[in-house]
Amino acid sequence: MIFDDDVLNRLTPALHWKPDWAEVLERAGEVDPRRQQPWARRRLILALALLAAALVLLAALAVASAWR
Amino acid sequence: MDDQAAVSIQSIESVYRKRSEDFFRLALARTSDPDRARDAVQEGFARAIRARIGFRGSGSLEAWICRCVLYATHDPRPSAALEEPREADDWKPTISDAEVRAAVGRLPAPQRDVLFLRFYLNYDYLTIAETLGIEVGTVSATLHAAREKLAQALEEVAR
Repeated sequence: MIFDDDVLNRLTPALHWKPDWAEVLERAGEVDPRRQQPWARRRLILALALLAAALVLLAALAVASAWR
Repeated sequence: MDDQAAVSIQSIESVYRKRSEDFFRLALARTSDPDRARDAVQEGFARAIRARIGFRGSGSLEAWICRCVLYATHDPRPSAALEEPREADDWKPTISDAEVRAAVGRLPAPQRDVLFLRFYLNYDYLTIAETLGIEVGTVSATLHAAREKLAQALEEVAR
């Protein structure tokens, strides 16, 4: 009998492999920069909103002072 | 992330994107359990990331990662390797599959590993040698012995 390597396929029936790199990074204790990005964007938006609010407040104060 | 490391995480990710499915087949052949095989691949790559500083580039990165995956397939249970597959939803082994499994399971572990690396990852002798930390000449002899032994075992089953 001639051994055919293809017989080894029987040890690994076709099962769907779902890669999950983010999970690998999590297991390794690393942070996925692509997951970090939305948070960074949200922080930037929040900072800009706070700055805008502060400017509006200052402008309002300035206007109120000028009226006196 | 540490870009100053000997190996970047991006390099490891590149191997993951390219080869994780083949590593999964290798781990599945070793463990007979899809869940454990998946866990071994994920853990093997995670170990590679954690230990990447230790990779000095003396061999191929893929072979080094493969060693991490093989290590992750090790189970404390002594008879865990090539046991009957757990009944998964879409995996019902036939009798002949079980016979093949038993025949492969009777091979000495080094012969099995060389055979698996050659078949599932299509590694050349040099990469197999790097992965298992053995001489290239030993790979050829071990592979030949494994094929011969498996052929004999399957012939006996066929009688």
